[in-house]
Amino acid sequence: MTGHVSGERFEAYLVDDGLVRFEWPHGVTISRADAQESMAAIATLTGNVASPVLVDLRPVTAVDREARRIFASTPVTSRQALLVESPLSKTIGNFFLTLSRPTMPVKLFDDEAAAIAWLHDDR
Amino acid sequence: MTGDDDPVGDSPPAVTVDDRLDMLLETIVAFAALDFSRPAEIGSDGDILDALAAGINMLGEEVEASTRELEERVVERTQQLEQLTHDLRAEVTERRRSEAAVRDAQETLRERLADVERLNREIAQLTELTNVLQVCATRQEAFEVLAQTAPELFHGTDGAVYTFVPSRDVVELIASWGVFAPPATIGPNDCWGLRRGHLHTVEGGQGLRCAHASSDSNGNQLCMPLIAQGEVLGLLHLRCTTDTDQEHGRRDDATPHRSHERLAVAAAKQIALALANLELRAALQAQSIRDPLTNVYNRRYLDETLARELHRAARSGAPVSLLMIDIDRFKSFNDSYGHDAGDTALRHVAVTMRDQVRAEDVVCRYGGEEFAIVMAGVDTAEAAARSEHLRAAIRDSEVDWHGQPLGTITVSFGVATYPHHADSKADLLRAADTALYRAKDSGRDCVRIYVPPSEVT
Repeated sequence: MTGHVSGERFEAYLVDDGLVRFEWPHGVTISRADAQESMAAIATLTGNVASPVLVDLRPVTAVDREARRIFASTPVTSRQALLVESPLSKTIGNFFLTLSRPTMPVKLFDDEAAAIAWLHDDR
Repeated sequence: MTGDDDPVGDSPPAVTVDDRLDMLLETIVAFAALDFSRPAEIGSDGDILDALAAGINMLGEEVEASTRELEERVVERTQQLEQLTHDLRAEVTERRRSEAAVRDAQETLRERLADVERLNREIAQLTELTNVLQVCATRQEAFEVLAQTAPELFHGTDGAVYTFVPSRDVVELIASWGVFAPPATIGPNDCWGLRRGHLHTVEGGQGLRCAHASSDSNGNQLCMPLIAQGEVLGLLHLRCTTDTDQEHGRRDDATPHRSHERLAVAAAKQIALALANLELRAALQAQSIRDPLTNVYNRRYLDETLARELHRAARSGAPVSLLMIDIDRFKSFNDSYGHDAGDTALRHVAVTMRDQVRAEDVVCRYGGEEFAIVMAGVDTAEAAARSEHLRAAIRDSEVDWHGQPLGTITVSFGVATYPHHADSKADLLRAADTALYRAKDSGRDCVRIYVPPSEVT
């Protein structure tokens, strides 16, 4: 099962192994509307089945508070792996982990393969 | 790359690390002042300063959100507290109102209980008074009972009880209590209660004041006529002054007066009924022992009196004389003038004899035109002398019948004395009757003393 949703400011892909991959453009600040749209995209891709999601935070400049809250409590993700690299993306990821208190397992990775492997552990 | 590195000069000046740190510091200062309108700029490098800016921004967002939530909670709590305060005030007000209502109800209940207790006490006293009055044998005895019981019954008042004296057309004082000096008599026109025939009150010195009422009192007064079967028998007068109230520790309101009114009306009815019963009893007794035509005692009373006096004489040894009197030629008198004139003659003889004898002598109509007089303690000689005196008085008197003289009326007397002539009632009656026949045989209009057959010549 594969698929692709092109959002206003993101691209979402359902890859062969059943996980959803998100790609954001460089320098984006993810707003609440972006978050809602991205969650809808996941639901579309997975048929409302909670699925593992890989989010590439490396090009993201900021995620506002409402967006973080949506990501932290969405029912459409079973676990989230956040790809980080720069001090900025690490800070955003760590703040998400500690301040937003997500209801599903979330982990930061600087290695994409490791992230995908961890996501596959959920299957 | 910095501005210094731009040889053309059309690129914006390069931002130094110090500049970025200053901007972050300004953002932190603004956030500290709760001004979150200008978050820190995050560059495209994603370096440590960008990370710092992002972190500061996210912390600012959290602080702003927390502050907003806190303010919302404060507003919400404040509203809750205000509502709670309002509810509490309403509850306190309601509770105070309820407590006041309970206090009022308790006070009312206490007053009602006091009223009931007072009413019970009054009913008990009134019942006792009624019971005692019912067994009184005479009006005088009833008056004495009233004099003793009224002060207690009308405790806390000055008062007086009056009885009606028909012959003088006044009510006369029979009992009084308290500190005032009631008049000895009250004329019917001096009392509004007597004039109107029902309760008359003067409250707080206001209203029609009776002429007999003391003018120095500004308190409550009431006059309740004693009326039974439509006839005024007396008057109950009560006075309740402020001084009297204070003296008895009463409250200065209308309650005592109202209760006294109630009691006065009830007591007046009972007293009047008792007095009426006594008068009725006295009238019945008089009817049973008196001859209705002549109003002297009847034969039944003669039998009782003679028997009683003979018993007394048997113990004391004193004589008892019996006089039998018969109007001479009464039948021809009736035939000449008619029965109405005959009745007038009978009344005239009866009244003349009653007026001439002693108070303790008992004049009776024995039957028809025959009378008898019992004279206790009187011997034969004195009885004969008194008989002679009576006979002369009757003969010398003039009888007027509807303005017409009926002529001279004469009577004959027979005298017998216990124990000289007889030792029993029957024998004494027989002896006096025998003597009367002798007087008739002697030509009438004379007095004859009984002579035993053995002494008759």
